[in-house]
Amino acid sequence: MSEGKKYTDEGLIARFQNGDEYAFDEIVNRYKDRLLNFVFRFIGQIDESEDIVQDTFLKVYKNKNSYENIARFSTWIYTIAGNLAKTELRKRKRRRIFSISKMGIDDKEFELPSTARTPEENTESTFNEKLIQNAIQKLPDKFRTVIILRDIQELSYDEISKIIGVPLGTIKSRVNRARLKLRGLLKDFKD
Amino acid sequence: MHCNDYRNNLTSYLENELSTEEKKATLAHEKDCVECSSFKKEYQEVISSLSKLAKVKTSPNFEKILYQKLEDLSQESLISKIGEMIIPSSIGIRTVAIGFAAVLLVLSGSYLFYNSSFSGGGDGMPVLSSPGFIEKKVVESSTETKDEDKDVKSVESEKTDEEEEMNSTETESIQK
Repeated sequence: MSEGKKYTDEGLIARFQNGDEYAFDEIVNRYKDRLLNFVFRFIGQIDESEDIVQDTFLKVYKNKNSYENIARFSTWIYTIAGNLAKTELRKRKRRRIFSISKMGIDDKEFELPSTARTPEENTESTFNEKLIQNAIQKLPDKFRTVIILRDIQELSYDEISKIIGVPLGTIKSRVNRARLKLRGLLKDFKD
Repeated sequence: MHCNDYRNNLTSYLENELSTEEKKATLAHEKDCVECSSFKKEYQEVISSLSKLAKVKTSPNFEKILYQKLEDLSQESLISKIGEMIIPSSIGIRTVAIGFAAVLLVLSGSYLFYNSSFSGGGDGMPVLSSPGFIEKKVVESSTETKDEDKDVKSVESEKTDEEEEMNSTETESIQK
């Protein structure tokens, strides 16, 4: 077990707040891929997603003292990444770089990561990767966020509720509706 | 149970969050409704497909770029801190401006004083407050007054001449 792994996330950020720069390195190591998966599924562009994840860590570094040990560290860092991802989507909409509603299933509206960066190939799934990613991109923001956090990131409803800032019951109902919508979209794509 | 109720409760049903009564009703509906039974299967496939999505990984130079960005950030904050030390705040800017204005005022006042002392009356005093100037001014004004008196006097003397002439005329006429 490495030195950093002895500590919980909250322990690491506390050490970082006290000036231990190695604690920050361990935070980066723990969260870089998790956050990249979250942001990538949310915005669909791998390079931009990496920039957003880096910006998330910059914010953590710069505002380390804003974190208070009343919430889980993961909730805090996911909230920062989620907000940056939403800001990026808003910027895109303003720039009119692309419009999801005008694109068909065959249009390249997201960038699939190269195989070198996706070692865990998905061969058993009913729906192919591109189909699912396109369907996720077509979901409204509020449904997209909860389905990524619940079914891809596998966070608890309680944590999702804290990240999004809405009651637990609303999150559960939103996850159900997001799944129903996604099933409908995937069925349409298949037909 | 209606099909919509069954589908809206699917998450709770699959995560065992329904009450005994609700679960009983849900199972009964599923048994009778082929469409909802098929719907449940598709719904589960969606969840399963999402969990099996490929996990992306950060690029090999992710950390290198991140630490470069951090270095840039600390340099930027160092520059801004130096800036704050020179001009700490908007209040600081105002203080500096007032101070500069005061210095300018003192300097310009000194400059005027210095210039005036050399263009003054030779007594080291500025022109307007030089005793020489004041004396000269007093002399000038008294001369002007005398001239005015002279003028007044001449008018009076002219008047006297006229009066004398009139008097003499009057005397002549009486004598006649």
